[in-house]
Amino acid sequence: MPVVTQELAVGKEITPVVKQMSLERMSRPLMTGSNPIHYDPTFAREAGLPAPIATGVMSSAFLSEMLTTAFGVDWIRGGSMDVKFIRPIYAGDTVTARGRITGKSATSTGVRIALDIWCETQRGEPVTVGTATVVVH
Amino acid sequence: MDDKPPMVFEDLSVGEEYADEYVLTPEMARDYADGVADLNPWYLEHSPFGGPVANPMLIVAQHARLFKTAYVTAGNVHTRHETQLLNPARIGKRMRVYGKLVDKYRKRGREYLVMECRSVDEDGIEICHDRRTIIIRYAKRPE
Repeated sequence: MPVVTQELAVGKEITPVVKQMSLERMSRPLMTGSNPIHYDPTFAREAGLPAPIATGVMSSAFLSEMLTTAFGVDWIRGGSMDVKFIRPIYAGDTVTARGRITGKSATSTGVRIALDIWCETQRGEPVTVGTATVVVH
Repeated sequence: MDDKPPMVFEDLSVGEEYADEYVLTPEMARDYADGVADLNPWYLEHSPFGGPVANPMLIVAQHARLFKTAYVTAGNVHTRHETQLLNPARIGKRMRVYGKLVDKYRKRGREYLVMECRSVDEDGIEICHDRRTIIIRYAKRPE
């Protein structure tokens, strides 16, 4: 479905994505790259964490899902994101990916949209923060 | 028995390069979709690009494999990534992944590495570029 750029006003929030974290999902080898800090409680405690933490890119995937829903093929072919993982995400957390449009400008091929993007937990804490851009054709 | 050396901050040289490859299988696409609970049919059945394509973050996640091609690693933590998506990655293609260590530094008791990566498919199509920052281990070292 084509994106209607007139609806993408600066200040508008795009539709969020909500995810429930589980150790089963966090532990998959494709996610963890066999890094025990993501699935082994003993290893995590020895590293100074209370429990295994999700990979940062899991939260990036939630942000990417939100951006794919909002911008479709233009996100997958040409989107960019710059995100920092500022707090750990644990099994049992509910993570909400959010985005707010901060800029909109014409380019030679479409409309460039800039966004602040972030993930927050049920505690209201941001865990992943950054920006994204996409040119809507 | 893995005969690679452990990843030690002092032994790493800025400019080191790494490479890896893998086949982007339907099973990987399904496992990743289940893992992030994103069952978009674009990744599993068909997409506007013709045929299924990979979740873009599945491709980015595979960049973490690069250090493992050269070192035994455990306990590193990803802190940032700056990613440019260029083209969809088509399921079934062999992917080639390249990385280069471009910076290393210590900050507040932790050791940081910055790697620039890119994924290219077997046809030479650039899929994404990525600049990723990790800390070698979460536990701080005494300063």
